[in-house]
Amino acid sequence: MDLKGQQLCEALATYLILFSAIVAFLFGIGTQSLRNLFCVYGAGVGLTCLVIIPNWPFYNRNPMKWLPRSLKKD
Amino acid sequence: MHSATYRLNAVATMAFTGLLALCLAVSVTELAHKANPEASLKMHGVHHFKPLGGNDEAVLSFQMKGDLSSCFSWNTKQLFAYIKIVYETERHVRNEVTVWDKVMTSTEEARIEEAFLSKYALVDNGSDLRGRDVNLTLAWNVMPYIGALYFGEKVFAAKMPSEYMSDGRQG
Repeated sequence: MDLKGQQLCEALATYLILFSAIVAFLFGIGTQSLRNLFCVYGAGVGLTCLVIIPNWPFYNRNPMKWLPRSLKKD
Repeated sequence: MHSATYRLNAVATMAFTGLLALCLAVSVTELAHKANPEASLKMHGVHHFKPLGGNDEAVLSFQMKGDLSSCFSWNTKQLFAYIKIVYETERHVRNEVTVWDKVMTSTEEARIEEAFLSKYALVDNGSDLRGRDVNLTLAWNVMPYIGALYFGEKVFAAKMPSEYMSDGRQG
């Protein structure tokens, strides 16, 4: 995972968790059920894990450019 | 975010923070819950009223018509309802004796219309119950899944018999 990818990954993780929590709360209130609330939140966290943890190709679109190796020995 | 284990750690930390926030939010919704519990309670009878080892002991029965079901919100696990006899004597300023209780886990159970015997005897600390004005207090704890427990109560007046007695059914 490159540096841009890491930045994207962190932002995605934050917003996905936040989004899951908000959706779960609204769904829980809507159906008047704590069980539904925590099931939806758990599903959201599971989805977040799937998106965040594997090193998906879209995290590697900006490979780092290293300086060329110096051939001169000091 | 450079390795899978680091990302797992980050997601777990965020998920638990979110869980905490959700629990807080759920417990706050309790503040908006408006309950309208109704109950009337009166002494139905005194079945046994005798001194025992210097302390007055009484077995009572009650007539109750109540509906506490509005105390249930989406975050309520159960109600714990109990009847306590509260009175004042010359020797002891504050006496509270619990004589009946019930755990109500559903709105159906929170509706009561019946006469019933006390579960526990009313035992005075001394022998000052004859002719005593007492308060029958129906109290309930609302026990939530998440958040703070809170109380409610309704008070009804009653009077103990002026003489010791027994109707032969109890004790």
